[in-house]
Amino acid sequence: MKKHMIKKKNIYLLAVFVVLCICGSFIPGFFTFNNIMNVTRQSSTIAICALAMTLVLIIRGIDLGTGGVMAFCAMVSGFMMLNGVGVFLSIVAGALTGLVIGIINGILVSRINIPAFIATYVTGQITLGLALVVGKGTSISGLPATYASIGNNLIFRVPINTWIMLALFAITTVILRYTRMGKHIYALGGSENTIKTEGIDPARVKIFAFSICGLFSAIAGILLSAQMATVHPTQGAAYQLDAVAASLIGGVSMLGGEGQAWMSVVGALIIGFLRNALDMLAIDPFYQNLVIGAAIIIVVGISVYNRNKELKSAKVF
Amino acid sequence: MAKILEMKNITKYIFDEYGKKIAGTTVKILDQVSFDLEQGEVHVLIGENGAGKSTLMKVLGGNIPPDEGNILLDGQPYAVKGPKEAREKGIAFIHQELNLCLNLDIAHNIFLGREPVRHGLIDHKYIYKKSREYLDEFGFHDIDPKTMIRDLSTARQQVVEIVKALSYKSKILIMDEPTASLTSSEISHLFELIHKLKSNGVSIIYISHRMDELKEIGDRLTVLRDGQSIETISMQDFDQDMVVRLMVGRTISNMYTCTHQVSAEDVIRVEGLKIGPHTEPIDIHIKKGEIVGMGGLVGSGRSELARSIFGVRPYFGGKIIYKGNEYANPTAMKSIRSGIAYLSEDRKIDGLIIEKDIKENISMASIYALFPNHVINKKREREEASKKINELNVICRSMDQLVSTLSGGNQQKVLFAKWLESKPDLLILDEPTRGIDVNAKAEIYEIMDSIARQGVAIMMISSELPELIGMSDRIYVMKKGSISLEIVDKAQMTQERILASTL
Amino acid sequence: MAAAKNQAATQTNTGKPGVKHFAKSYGNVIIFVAVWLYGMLFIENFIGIENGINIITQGAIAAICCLGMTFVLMTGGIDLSVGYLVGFCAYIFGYCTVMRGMPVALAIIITLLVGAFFGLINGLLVQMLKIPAFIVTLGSGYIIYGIAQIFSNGSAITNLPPAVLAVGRAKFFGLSSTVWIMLLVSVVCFFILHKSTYGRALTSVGLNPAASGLSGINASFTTIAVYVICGTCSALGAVLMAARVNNCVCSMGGTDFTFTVITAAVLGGASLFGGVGTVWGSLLGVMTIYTIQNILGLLSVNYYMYTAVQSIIILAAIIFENVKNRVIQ
Repeated sequence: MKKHMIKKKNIYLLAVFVVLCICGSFIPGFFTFNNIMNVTRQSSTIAICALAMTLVLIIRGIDLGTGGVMAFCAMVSGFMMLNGVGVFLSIVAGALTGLVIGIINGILVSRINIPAFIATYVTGQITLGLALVVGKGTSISGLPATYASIGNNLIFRVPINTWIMLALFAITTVILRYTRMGKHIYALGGSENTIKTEGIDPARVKIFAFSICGLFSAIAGILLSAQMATVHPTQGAAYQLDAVAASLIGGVSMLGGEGQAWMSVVGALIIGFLRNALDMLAIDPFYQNLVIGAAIIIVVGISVYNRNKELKSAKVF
Repeated sequence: MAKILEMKNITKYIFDEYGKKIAGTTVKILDQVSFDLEQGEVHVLIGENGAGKSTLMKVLGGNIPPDEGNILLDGQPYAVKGPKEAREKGIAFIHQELNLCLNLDIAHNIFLGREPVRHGLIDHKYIYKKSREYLDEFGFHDIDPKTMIRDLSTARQQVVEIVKALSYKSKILIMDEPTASLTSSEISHLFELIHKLKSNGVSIIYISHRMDELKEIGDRLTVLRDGQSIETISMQDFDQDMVVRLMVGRTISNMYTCTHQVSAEDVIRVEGLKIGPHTEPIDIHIKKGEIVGMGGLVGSGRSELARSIFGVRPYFGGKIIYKGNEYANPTAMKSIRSGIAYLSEDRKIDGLIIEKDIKENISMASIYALFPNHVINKKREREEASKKINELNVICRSMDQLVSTLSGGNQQKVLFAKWLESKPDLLILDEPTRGIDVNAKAEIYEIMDSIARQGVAIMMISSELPELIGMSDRIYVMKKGSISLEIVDKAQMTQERILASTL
Repeated sequence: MAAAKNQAATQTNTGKPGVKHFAKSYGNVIIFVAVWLYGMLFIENFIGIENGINIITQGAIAAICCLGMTFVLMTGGIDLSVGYLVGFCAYIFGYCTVMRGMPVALAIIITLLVGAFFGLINGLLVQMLKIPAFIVTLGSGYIIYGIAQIFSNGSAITNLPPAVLAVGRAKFFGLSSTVWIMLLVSVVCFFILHKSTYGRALTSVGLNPAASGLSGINASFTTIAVYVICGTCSALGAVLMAARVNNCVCSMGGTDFTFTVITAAVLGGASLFGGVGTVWGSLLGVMTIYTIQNILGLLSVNYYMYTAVQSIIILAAIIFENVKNRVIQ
């Protein structure tokens, strides 16, 4: 029975894709190689954030602080570069900052028992505030050319961004499918009690998931700023909702235990193509937020409704 | 045969959520229980609800530590810190509610927490191969270890849990009502498996209420009652009547008061009510000033019936006639307004708000009746609360004390006060004396009697047979969602009779 | 019987008031007093009626929204759409008065109805579909922002009618009209939350929905109503904000404002887990936040420190509350 449901889900994704393709074929210049590469480059940032979100959603958490982390970690890198630290070292430092923020989130959620959406929302605000402090309220520019090239150069005609996204996608897939931690992440999403009786510490699993989430968000933020060669303190704001939406639209469940890395990537591509198509059709960009906000409520609404229906049918005497 | 396990004089006091004894309590759940197990036998554990079966098994399974007594496993002292350690020592607990991750496949569930690793990655080849072997060993050639647990039937999920337990080389398997949710063909499969395990030298502790199946698979049987081990018999001597007698041998004390008079007038008639889509219709009626007992096992549908009447659960046909008129589409609000009250089973979960003070809890079910213009009149509230506190002898420092700081008996009295404040004509009590000490129990019985004297109809759901017999004017027994017995005559109310019709 | 009494007596000891009890009930006062003490001792120009009034005036609008948020938090929910709703309602108010030339009273009523309407949608989604409140309001926040931007086309409305501006600038007994309206709203909220059966039902639902349902309390109505109240309060805040700055643009409010409002409620002692919260506590929370902002201002700290400082404070408050609850248990 469940197999059918999963297939149904895939059919829904396929349908969305077909609709996009049909719509796209009416838009001149939509299916050109350059445009598609353009979309994948834009979607890459969303996809990396969504990959980060995947792990956290599977353990029934959520990260509402992506935007702040993206801004702050890029700020840290940018600030170091402006002060003469090497590009590579700066990027590593920025990424590690994200990792630390993720670990803090994990500790807040697992050890102090703060609901994930509150903990990440607050740390998101803190990092946003710190980004403003580092940038003194405006953006940092004048970053080295090597840095900018990471965001804009192509390898085999494909943007570096996209390669990095694919690498992170592979890493996430391997973590989720082939490592013990990955299986424990699913198990935690399925039943916290069961993993406790197996002697696995749920706190460790949670901290791991949140730390990867922080790390990936930081990488997304750094890539974004490299693309523009500037770091803006609110550069992450737009990605906050997109990250959650991409995972959920791709089929990762907010109720935990379900979801795979490819779903988030597909979700990110759908959002990327949607935004691109709306742009090309010259539709008011304001509609985009509206559509994505509504999509989140609808997708979560459907999954909650289905679960409640299941629970109800199980409860009958 | 060799004794593989010996539990001697195990005592466990009432405990908190971490399994630690509650300070200052003298209430024992297990009282000097002794139990032993031989290699390769199926030892049945039987007893009423609350007799201490699950607590004893939780002690053995490492979920909670015993307060007194010792356990020998293979002649060695046995003390474990948790279920994982217990399993490593060869004791596996198959809970009634299965402990599997529905979103993982069979192999990953079997190896959860001990996945073999090669080059840093899980050795999938190995775990699927091993899982295949485990399943084959017990003849489940048709189960693919790559199947998701949620795609399996309950019976198959249970098989996975058993296979998982055996993969730890378990010597002792504890099975808590394993047949509760299985069909008859699935049960016979399970029994085949159990016979196979026995012949492999695995010992099984089998908890069940189903008399008919015990004889088929059991070797010995131990009866628990009130936290004490009463008797252990060999299955050759099994006799259902005798076992029932052993289970119920509690004395009925004189703590029950009966000064109320039953009137002829019906307060409520339930006609052909179906509490589930596939259950038999229920017909019951309760008269003014009458205490009607509802007996039956946990899960026999008593609470569901009560909740359906009260309007917080749907029913599937039939009708309720309340005070001579049809009472259709009940809701809690409507029921309270028309004089029906329902004291739920667990006062902490849906009875009281323990983070609030006594007076607010007392007025909670009647705020709209007490304050018709929607303004809280604190003075009125205090008057009403103090009246009820005196009436029911709630022992507290003041009515501003939080309910969570009261003892169980006093919390229960506050729950009574809350519902009496709503001035009911029909009072439904769901396990009114659960988890409270003897003195408080006697007081609650007095309260019930005095309520009935005022002409209130009382429906009392109880799993304690002495209480059921001592307090009731009439008894209905429920089984599998319908009424299996009605006892009208007080002289006919015997524990044996009631218990026999619940099983 | 005597034994029962003794047992009860030993068990009641745990309920005695003490230092722990005080810290649990009046943590918000302690923080407020500490901030004020710090200000009075170390900050120049902090003491003085003028600065005090200044703080209150600054905080009045947030206080009104914070009271609405308190109602939502009491049910264990949260409303992340408040900031966007404020922006949208401010624009609606400007649109009605300036573009349509409606009478001010009518414009206010329409604005409040818009706020209540979006609150109702939030409430229905949370209660009827059982979608977690933070997802509903996160999504609806973006939807509201999107609608607001489309409707306003990103433009601002200025030059509000003189009547509006006059009311916004009017002072009675030294306090601005905004503060008086805030006080009026507080009194109404105080009455609803602490004196009415609705407030009683609200606390019950927040602490234990199952027990409340069995006690005949309509949890659906109670929950939906809090979102309507929150939406209405946000709309009222929007009107006052528009009147104060003589500008109506949908980017007023925003997530920063939402965050301030939630922070204030939590600092004031409202629990994110529901059931606990008071009107005076939330007012105190707002005043604490604006006092901190005032102090940062007087210290001429960079404005961009505000978000960081404020969010670190809320994190500390939440950790404090969770750890405290565990210690007391």
